[in-house]
Amino acid sequence: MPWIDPQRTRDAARHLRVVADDSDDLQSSIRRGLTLSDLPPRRSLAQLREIDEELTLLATVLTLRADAVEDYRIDGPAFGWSRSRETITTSRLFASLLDDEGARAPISGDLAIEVLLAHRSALECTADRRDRPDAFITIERLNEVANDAAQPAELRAAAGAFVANPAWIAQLRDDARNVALALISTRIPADAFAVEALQLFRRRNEVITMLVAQANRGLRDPTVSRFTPEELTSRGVEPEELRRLGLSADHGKLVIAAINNGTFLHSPRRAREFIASLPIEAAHGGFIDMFEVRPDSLRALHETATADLVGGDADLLTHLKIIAHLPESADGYRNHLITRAYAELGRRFEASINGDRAFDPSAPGHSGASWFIFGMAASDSVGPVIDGSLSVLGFVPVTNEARQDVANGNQAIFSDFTDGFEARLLGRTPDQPYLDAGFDLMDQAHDEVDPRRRQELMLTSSAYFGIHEQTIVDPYLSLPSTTIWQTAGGLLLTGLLGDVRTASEVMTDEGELHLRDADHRKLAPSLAIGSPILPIDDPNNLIADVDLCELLEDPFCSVVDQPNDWSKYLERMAPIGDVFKYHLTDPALFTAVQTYRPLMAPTPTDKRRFRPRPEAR
Amino acid sequence: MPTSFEFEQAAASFDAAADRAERLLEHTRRHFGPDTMRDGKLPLLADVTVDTAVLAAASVADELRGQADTCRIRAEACRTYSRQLATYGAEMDRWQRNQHRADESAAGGQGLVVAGPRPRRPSRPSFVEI
Repeated sequence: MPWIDPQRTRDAARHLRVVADDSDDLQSSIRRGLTLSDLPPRRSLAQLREIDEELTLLATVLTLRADAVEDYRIDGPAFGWSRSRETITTSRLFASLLDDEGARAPISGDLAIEVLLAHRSALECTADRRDRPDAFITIERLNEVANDAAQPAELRAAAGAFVANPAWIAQLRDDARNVALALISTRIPADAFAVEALQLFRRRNEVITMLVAQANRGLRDPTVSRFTPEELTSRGVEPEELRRLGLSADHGKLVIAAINNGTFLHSPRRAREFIASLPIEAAHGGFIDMFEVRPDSLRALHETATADLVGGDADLLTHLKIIAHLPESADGYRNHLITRAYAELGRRFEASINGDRAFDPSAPGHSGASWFIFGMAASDSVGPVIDGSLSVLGFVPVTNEARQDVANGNQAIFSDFTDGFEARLLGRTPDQPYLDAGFDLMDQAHDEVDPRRRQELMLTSSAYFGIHEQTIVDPYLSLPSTTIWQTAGGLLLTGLLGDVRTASEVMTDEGELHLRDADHRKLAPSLAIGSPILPIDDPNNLIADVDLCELLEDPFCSVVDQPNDWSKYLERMAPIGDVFKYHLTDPALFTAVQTYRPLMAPTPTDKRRFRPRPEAR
Repeated sequence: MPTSFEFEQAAASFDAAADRAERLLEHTRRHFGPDTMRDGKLPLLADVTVDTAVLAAASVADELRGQADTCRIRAEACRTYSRQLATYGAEMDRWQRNQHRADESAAGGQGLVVAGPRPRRPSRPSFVEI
């Protein structure tokens, strides 16, 4: 049975990296000789590059292998929240460990189990276990099969993957005393054998084997061959596989092609891992062009990634993170998901904080709307900009650049709040003080029994969330495209036909927050976010407690009631504070939040965050 | 074009690089003994990779030694050409003086003075610069 010492293996990996660095440095020395003599030692430079690359790759393999032995996660930022088998991940080692005659494509743990089960009659070999057919398969037998050229590629791949990943075996082994793999304990019925996944594996294996053979002949760019990114991804080749194998290709185009060609539709877990690798513009600086993503493909990817999420806080969080990482498409699919996610969180917090009074803001003691309900309306309001259905002043079309920038801003806020929500759910304190304060105040509102104080706490909570949100969105308001299309982090202007003002002026003067349901039906007059504060005794003032008006003096204190420039943080905060104050108990908000389809069904056992509120004293 | 000094410098540089290439993986194999890993495919992968790298490094060292030798040969060629050029310069000066005397004696009707054949400029190797 394969055995490694993780510490020595790590030392070996470190040594290899030093040698690789030396090899790189040596190339510099040689180039100096070349400069002096005009004698190009081309073969040496190429060989040293090869040494550098190969040793670096081997060092990576060794480190991963040591990680696996020590039972670390071995496959990047996957969202393995819910089930133990989620942690069985695709082996990064596998492609490197197989010989040229074997399978080159990585095989997932799920498929490997299914392949082994399908071939279990060929694997059962231990004489002393014949009394328990199909119960145990030894590692030695797996090793034999992995090296047996007569066996099918997928069986060799599956057996080799398990031999190469002790961590997988450790998770499946039911008896630490022996080295047998208790596959039967997974209880996968025979009819669950994934024919499509197997076919995909075979196609992928064929292509990758061909590409590796080409690479061995010096052709390291797969697009030099007959394969376009579309052809590669439609055969199931994953962008990261090519990068891992050192085959150069346009990674960005491959990623888009993988989305559009449904490369990851065969496995919810693989779809999640792929989505987790996609950039969030605010965090990583890069983004996927929303106009290159096919809407139906994006929808299919999202549906696959969430197909096996069954509910509860962990799956909800997984779903939120999936949405945060998804790219946008021209029809605003991600924006719609973000709006639904805000609605979901708004409903859950509402139910948790207000109990029997939930969704009835006129009921005595109701806390008022949380920021997440306002977030739903704000996200919905930028939808027409992102999907291109709205134009400025009725005739100026929204540019694609502006649509992308607004979509990026929409994602920036959502991903940041998702991170904060995750931190709270896992019992950590978010790094952002205003976000943390906002959650704390919601918790206090949850526990508070004094009706007036509950509203004060909820309003202040929204204020802190609002400050955080507007800080995040601030850079997007100064982008060239959005200075024409001011969106104020989701608070959108509507165009006015016949108006002679600039779009910027319209935003500043007439910005509105829509109150619409999930079908985009208008539920109430839009909230004019640029208007002066309503008098306290105004009959249109919906606020439940007039004293709340005094609450947001600081930090929402502003020198102006009417902002002159929406891109200025201090000027726009006053009217945003107005929205929180005057619509705290607006029934239209609570009607709207109930019209969105649930993201997840909460399970009765997941009550860590959404606990019932205490009885009134 | 390089000078003899630059060829000498390049030879030293290639030699030093060859020394480093020879030493590059001298301690690597000891990291992959049976106390680090055994059985399975990983030791095989490591051995093959390291062996290939060792062979490649040896090949690099060979080529660099060859380059250094070439540089030294060319440096010597530079020096030789330099010496030939100096000799040519002196012979040319002498020939020009003789030629002048021959011209004068011919003009004065004095005895015959022969300047002799004009010296031939040494041919310069393509890689040489003085």
